[in-house]
Amino acid sequence: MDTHVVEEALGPTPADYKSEVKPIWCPGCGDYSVLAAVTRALAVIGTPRHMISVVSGIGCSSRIPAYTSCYGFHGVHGRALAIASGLKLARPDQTVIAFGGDGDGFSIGGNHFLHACRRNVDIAYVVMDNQVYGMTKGQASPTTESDWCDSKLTPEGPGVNPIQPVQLALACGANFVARGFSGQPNEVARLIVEAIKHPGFSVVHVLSPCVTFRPEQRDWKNAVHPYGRAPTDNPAEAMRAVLEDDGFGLGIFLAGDRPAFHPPSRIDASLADIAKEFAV
Amino acid sequence: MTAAPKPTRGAESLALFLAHALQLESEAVERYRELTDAMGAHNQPEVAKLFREMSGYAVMHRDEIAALAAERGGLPRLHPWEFDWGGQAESPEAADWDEAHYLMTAAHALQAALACERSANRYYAGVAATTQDAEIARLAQEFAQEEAGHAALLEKWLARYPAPREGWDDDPDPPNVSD
Repeated sequence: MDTHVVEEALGPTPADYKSEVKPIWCPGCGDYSVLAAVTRALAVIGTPRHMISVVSGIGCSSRIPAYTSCYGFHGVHGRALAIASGLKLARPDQTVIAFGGDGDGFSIGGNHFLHACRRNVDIAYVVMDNQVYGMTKGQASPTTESDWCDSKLTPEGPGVNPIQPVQLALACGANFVARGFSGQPNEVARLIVEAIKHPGFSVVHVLSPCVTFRPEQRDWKNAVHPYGRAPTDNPAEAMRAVLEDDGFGLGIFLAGDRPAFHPPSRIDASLADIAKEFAV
Repeated sequence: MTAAPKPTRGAESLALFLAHALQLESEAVERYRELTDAMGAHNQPEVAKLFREMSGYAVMHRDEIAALAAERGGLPRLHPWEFDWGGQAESPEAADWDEAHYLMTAAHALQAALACERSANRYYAGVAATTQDAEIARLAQEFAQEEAGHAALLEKWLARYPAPREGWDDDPDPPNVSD
């Protein structure tokens, strides 16, 4: 058995990756548990804080960079993946993790999501999906059910089918796709560790209840279940299986083998050389 | 938090038992601190104070177990998902997040803490009942009694606090009314 003295066993702790900024999420929000999962995952990996960049867009869940002690970039709505991609390509030595919600990721940032999946830059993307725009007081989001009638903006429901994030990620070429539930933060931590370690673009879809605008989501803890299949490296096989899933299956769907996108390094180019490329 | 834990891995060896005990208290500390911060952010100073006190007790227990483990020479290195809490997603003494509410009262906080202590008691009692190792059984019984003592103390505290009034979560300006 791999044994260590207590101090070594403790190692970096989740608290080492938390900032002094106190979260202002609603008590009971699933995002607290996702934050706990992230810090537990980072403590397992043990990467120094200055070698990790946490990037987000706008929304409740996108507040997360402020709550970690790593480098953070709280960006523009829907642009977390554009920022994260640029950051990773400029600083490939950094571990880059992007965070966001269902609205930020699949509506405002939907186009960036498609191309981040197919581009396959080595980023982990954690989407906290509560199927509602919580920060702006409860409007239907791209993942809201078509018959959800609790918003005054859509009193008869959005009337359109919700996006299925896992299916979308697979269809667009993400190299690692998994789903977790915020009520199981240790399992979400495992998925985040695997996502960070896996080369290329990794998507972790986390069901994270909004207890304020979607209190019925408290019942998700009774709906989730293990996905029940071993991860595959075959996207087509993963897609076929996911199409039979009820949206509450938890686990790793795909651990693909596509090489991550690395543009040629420009480390030898001088600033003057680069500036010449911008000459009109 | 209601189902009785079914310990298995923590009953296998003394090192694994102490690792589980250390993790149990560490996650309790972490959760109580998170709840303290959440209640502070939502202008619930009395509830935040209670959770802060709970985190203080959990810190003491965590440090006692860490010292005990240091005396024994070492601990296995386990990842958070490798701990076995008898089918529960989190360690028995970590308060359930989804029971938190921005208008929760001190009585609610104490009830949450009481549920945690009872759950930890069941965990340790389960280890004591199932382990084949006499030293683990002795320590697990000792820890179970400690948790039972904490639960008894919390029951006394609860008796001092008024029960939540009916409609405790009524809010004339609720946050979930869309404009």
